[in-house]
Amino acid sequence: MAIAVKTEHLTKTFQHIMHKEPVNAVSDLSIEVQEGEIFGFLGPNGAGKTTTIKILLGLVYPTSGQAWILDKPAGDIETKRQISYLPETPYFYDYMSGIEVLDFYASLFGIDGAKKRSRIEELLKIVGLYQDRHKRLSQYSKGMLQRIGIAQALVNDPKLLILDEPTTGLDPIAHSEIRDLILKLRDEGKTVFLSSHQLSDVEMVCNRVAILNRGTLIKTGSLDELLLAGQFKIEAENLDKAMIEKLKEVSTYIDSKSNVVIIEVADGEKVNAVIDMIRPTGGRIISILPQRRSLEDLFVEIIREVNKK
Amino acid sequence: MTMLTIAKNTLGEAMRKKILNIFLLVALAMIAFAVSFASFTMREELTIIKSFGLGVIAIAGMFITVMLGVNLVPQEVERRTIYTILSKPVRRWEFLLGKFFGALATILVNLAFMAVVFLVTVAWKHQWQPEWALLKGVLMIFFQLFLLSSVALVFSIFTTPVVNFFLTAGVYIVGSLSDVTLSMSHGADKSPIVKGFYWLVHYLVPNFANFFTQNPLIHPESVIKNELLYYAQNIIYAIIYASVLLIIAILAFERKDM
Amino acid sequence: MKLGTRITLAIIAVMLIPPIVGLQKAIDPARKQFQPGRGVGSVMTDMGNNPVVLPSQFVAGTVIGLQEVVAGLLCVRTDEFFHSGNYEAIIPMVRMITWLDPHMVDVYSVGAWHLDYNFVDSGQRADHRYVVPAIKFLEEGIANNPSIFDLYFDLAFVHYYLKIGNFEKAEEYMRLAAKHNPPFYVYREIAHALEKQGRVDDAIKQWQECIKIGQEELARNPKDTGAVTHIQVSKRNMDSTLIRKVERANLGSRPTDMGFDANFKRLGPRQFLISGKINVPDGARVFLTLTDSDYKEPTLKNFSWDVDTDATALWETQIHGISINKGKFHKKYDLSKDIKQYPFKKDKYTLTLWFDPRCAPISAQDITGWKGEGITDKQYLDTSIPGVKMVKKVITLNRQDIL
Repeated sequence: MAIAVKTEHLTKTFQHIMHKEPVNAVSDLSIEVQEGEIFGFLGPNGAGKTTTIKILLGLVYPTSGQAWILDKPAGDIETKRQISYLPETPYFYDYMSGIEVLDFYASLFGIDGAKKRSRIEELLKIVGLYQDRHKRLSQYSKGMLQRIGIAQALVNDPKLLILDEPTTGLDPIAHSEIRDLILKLRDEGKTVFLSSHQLSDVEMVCNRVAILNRGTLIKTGSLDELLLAGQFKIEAENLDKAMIEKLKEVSTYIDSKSNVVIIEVADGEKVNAVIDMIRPTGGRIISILPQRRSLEDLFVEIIREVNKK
Repeated sequence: MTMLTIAKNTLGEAMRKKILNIFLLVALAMIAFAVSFASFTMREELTIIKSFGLGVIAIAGMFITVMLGVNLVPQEVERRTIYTILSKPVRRWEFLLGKFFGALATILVNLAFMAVVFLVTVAWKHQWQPEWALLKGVLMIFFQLFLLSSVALVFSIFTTPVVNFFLTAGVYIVGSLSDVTLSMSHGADKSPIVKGFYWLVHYLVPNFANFFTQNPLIHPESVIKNELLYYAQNIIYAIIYASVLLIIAILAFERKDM
Repeated sequence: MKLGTRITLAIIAVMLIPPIVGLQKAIDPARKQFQPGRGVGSVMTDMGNNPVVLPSQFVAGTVIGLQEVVAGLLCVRTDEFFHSGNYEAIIPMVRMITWLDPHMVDVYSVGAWHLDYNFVDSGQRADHRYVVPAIKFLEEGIANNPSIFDLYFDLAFVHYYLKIGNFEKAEEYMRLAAKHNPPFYVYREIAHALEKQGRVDDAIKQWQECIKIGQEELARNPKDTGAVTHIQVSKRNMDSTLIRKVERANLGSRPTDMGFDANFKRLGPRQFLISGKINVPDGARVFLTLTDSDYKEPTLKNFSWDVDTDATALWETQIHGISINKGKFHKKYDLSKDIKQYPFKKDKYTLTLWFDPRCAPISAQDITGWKGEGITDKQYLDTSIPGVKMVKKVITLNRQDIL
């Protein structure tokens, strides 16, 4: 599988004249994004997400380490024809109308003439702004601005989209429309690099994520890997009290109020132990389900742990 | 061409900026107001109208240039519009020069408005005989502002708009005192260090005073030698000097973290 | 941008610096032509004994090359002073304006006019001590604007011809004016100045020259009505001069006795009566000067409006002379209200009364001739100027005779 984005030991240190201490915005970051996947880039404020993105886009130069986009060094001009960027709370020239803004960005790609006109129309319809196309951006709501931002990110039909908080300030309907759009993009074979606080969104659309804190990569992997990290829920019946007591020792939680006992264990090994305990005594295993943590839980846990150190 | 797209965009945005339009309106009003000085002989009246008009155009042009120049790049950074542009296949120098030429176009348009009102006012007071020679003065003002805007642009890469405003204004004032810096760089009664310092200031600070050619335009009966040569030298000076400053700006902007 | 490109650009930038310096070196000497005025530093220096400081709100203008605008604003101010009669304030303004913009021709003209004509006493007599400053001011104006006729003619006509009565100097400057594409009247005034000097034949030749110039202009531009008028006027004047030449041909053989005498009578402190008789028709005037006995015209190298405040010079010539009525003249003088203009600080004074036929109107000259060919006098005939006969009486007075 081709790699869309790659960083190797990427480091960025800012030295402001005013502050005595240099700020390590990004430290030794090594990540990989496969082509065709939706990659979630997470971390609290100040974690270094925006700085990393800026390095990928050639807006900021790394102190050390390297970054590549579509196999070319980050910042390469020709590569930018195939990527696009939607910044956090974007601002556009508000004296322009929706159609004029898209015209401007399309011109930057060298798209012109009839092809430009039809592309702009198409985009406006995709983001649902066709009827507002002649209104000045100063009259657009936040949601509309976000949508025009997405439109400008689609102008060049990019292979890779870098989206920074694309759903901030959107109402639930618009929210879900963006999610659907991102999924659709993946279906079209595009790669999406999504930096977001909206963990529910990330959980819903991303294949893999990276979690950053204070410039360092804490955890990376597919969501399944990270969220299904061990816990199982076992439903069993025909268990006597003695068995239940024994099971308490190997489980993290037992609910024996009804006939069907719910047993939660911490990892796969304990599953086997439980099975070995129940089966010989005539107990019946109804189901064994991997417990999926929510991303939010994982996130909070990780950050807390790191901050303790 | 991306540079042209950015230039056009800069022009469009600048023409809508309220504060610049206020300067323009004030200038137009003042030019027209110069006409109200009555009770002079016609020659005196024309002299006053011409000197006022050129003076107003020069000052208004200077303010518009400085206001435009100090905000040109910083505004895009502050409003984050620069990110959506530089993330597209736009080279940094294309962006910078595009902004610069857009600003120049704005200055030219403003000067043109003022020049038209000025010429009409003068013609009206001169029995509808237009004095096209006055455009020479406007031409010199334009090249002076061309040079000034490149000063503002280069500073804007390094400092904030407020600091830049004073820096650029300061350079303008020092550059207008060419006669003083030149005379201070000569003379047996001064130490070599003082003379050397003023020599450097005189030749390295852009000499905006070169471009003030109003007097013979206000008094057309004056006799000027080698006028064409002088104008040509000034235009070339402006272009070369601005080029140096633009190169510095491009090089500085190239490696700047956004 | 590749490193190589960046280095190349940096080298180009450095290599462009010498041309910048070179161009500036070429531009510097030529810049003065376009900025003839003086800027900030120079205005602060000594101008005469009274250095004038440019008001602060105008300093900014001269710093950024708006000298001409500041000069224009000062013109407006000066006009206000003029309308309110504040002539004293006008002179420093006029000085400042011409420092800032030496091409303000009208300001030179008006400034000189104020100096020469408008510092008057309670009897509307101009202060003679300002005549030389007025001339110097115009000479400076001429030096700064040598290629136009205006100030040459201004000096010639408004000052030398009308006020001072020095027709040789008037002719000299009129001829200078004539070199710079003047209007027709300049050529005509030369003829008048020649006739005033008594050079009748030269005057007639000049009238012919006037006609010729008019005709040449008419040939170039047949619709030029100014040329037509000029030719007509010149012809008329030439005819009049010719007639006068014939009529006055024999005045020398039968001169008229002027019977001139004049008296000074003190009436009170700084008040006196001048009276006398002279055998000359009405319309002519007797001229008077009352000065310190050691009074000398100031020698100024450059324009300065400082006058010697201790000098006294009462000067009544040209149209301010004492008018003659039926062979007699008298005038009362009360200088008690004008102590500043006539301080009377010295001990001795010279009172000169004279009649100069060159300055007389035509009716008088018909009897006296242009240069006094037709006059004689037993007591006071004066022939100190070669070729000119006039009558003059000089009276010496002491301070107490006047005060």
